[in-house]
Amino acid sequence: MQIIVEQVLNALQMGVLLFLIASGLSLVFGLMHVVNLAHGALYMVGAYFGITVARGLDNFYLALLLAPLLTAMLGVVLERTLLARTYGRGMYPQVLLTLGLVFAFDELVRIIWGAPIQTLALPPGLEGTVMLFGASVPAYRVLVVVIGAVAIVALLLGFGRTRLGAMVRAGVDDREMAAALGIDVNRLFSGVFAVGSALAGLAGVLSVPIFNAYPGMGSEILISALVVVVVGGMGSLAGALIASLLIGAATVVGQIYAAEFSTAVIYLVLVVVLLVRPQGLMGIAR
Amino acid sequence: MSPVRHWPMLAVLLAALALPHFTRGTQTEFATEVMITGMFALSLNILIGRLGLISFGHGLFLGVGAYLAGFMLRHLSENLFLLLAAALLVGIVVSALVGAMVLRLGGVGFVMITIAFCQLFYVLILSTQTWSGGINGIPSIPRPKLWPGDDLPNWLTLDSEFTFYYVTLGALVLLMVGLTRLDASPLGSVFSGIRQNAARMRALGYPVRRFQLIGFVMAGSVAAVAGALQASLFNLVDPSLLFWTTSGEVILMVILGGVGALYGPLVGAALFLALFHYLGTLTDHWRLVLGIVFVVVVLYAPNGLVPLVTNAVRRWRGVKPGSRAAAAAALPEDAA
Repeated sequence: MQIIVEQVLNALQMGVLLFLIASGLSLVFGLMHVVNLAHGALYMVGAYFGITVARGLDNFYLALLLAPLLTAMLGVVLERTLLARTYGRGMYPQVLLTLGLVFAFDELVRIIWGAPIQTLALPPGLEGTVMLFGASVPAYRVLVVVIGAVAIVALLLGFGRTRLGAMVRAGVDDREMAAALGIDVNRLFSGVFAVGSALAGLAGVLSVPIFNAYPGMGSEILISALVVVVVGGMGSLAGALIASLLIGAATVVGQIYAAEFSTAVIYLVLVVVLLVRPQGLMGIAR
Repeated sequence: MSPVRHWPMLAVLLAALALPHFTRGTQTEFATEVMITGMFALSLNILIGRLGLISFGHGLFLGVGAYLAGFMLRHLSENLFLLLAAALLVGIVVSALVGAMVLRLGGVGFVMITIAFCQLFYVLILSTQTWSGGINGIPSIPRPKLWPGDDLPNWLTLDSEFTFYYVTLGALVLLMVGLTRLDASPLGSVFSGIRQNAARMRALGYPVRRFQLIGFVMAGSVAAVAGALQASLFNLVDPSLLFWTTSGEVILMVILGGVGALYGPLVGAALFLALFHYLGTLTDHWRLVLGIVFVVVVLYAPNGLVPLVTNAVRRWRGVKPGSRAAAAAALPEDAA
């Protein structure tokens, strides 16, 4: 029982973190047709913002709140000052611009926070274990899953049930038509970019106590997030959710049965999905 | 691709032939490294500049060539020609297999899937510690020889930096000639048509994906040769070749130099390595400079630095900047 609960929790935690990153990537892609390679950089910056806030204010919970906000602000500044200049010029200038940002941000983090690996001690309440279904599991993992679940529900409800969400969905479906109907697509872009950045920042700060923080962490996680987006179907939130949980579970199963190759499992999932369904699980073939 | 006049190329070639007689050992090796990296960038530009496909996983083929060289030179044969032939062959096979899968996705999907494939090979290498050396790579690879036998004079082996330089120069010139021929051939025109409007080419009856695969295999096999030469030069294979940021760097070189000019990627590679070696000794933060330069180039000079300079020269001479070449050089509009 202990092992099963533990592994299920591990899979959920992994899936939740992946979803927080991939959902922003997928939304930004769906609405703006931008592959934001700098999304991993935002995740990294979120982690470092979290470290600074948590140490400066000596409060981890405040860091969980402030780091996503700061990351969102940074995201909007990047979108308005740089990305906005490339709209209407096709997809390649945008991809290349964000590639330049990846290199710049890795180095900026090295300058501001230094190259060595940094970590955060958990606050007293989260260090221990809690009992769950007759098994004792680390309290922090439970918190990550709960926060992630709340964010997922809020995102899905906001996306599927509100007027703003309907506007975003309209933009994803057909940008020109949405603009013709009087939706201010440019402001929508900024808003979606802000939400995506905040989610990446949240994932960043949540992951520090588990995976630590180091320059280049964003470039590593970005690939997993891209795999999730492709497997789920580009621009589909539900697809991203299913793919995140699938890949989280596949990684944990891989760790149990073929520890050496566990990092390759997600690519295996990708290749299989690509061969069977090139548009992704929930994607629409165009 | 803009037309190339012959006498400046000849002058450059003569200068390149004379160069190792004026440089010291490490400088000659640096020049060799520039040419190898230039070949790698030129091979990627078959995809970017000619077909309008930005592959983010081109480092995969560099890695395939490098690991192949690591194995062959250590265990099978030290013959240079065997090595290059094997790299070409393995490059063709691997890129045909990978290309057949990744070309199923177009546009943005292609960007993502090429990153993922490259990363797949990276983690596979990391997790097969026993035969690939894992994170440590393959060290102490001997340099290839031009002739079989043990007691060769130094100049018949690539241990001599002169010989290595001229072998690389020969390969590079061969590649440039091949690319010029490609651009002048019907195949080059088909590539260019696919870049400008794939849907129209499909409507005209061209099997677009098959032509893209041909380009992908060309690019992959040349990159594998460059990888084999690089591993021989450094006596080392480093798995970070396969990390996706290596593929990002070569895109940077191609775009910096200019996708529309024949020798743009070569100039881009030289600039990149010069920044790396000379700025790298001044400041640890050269990547920041590089990233910012790149962002500025993408925003304000999307055709790269070579067309920027050649157009300035033309304007100075009072010739109208070639509008035809500029139009042909532009990055493709949304291919999705």
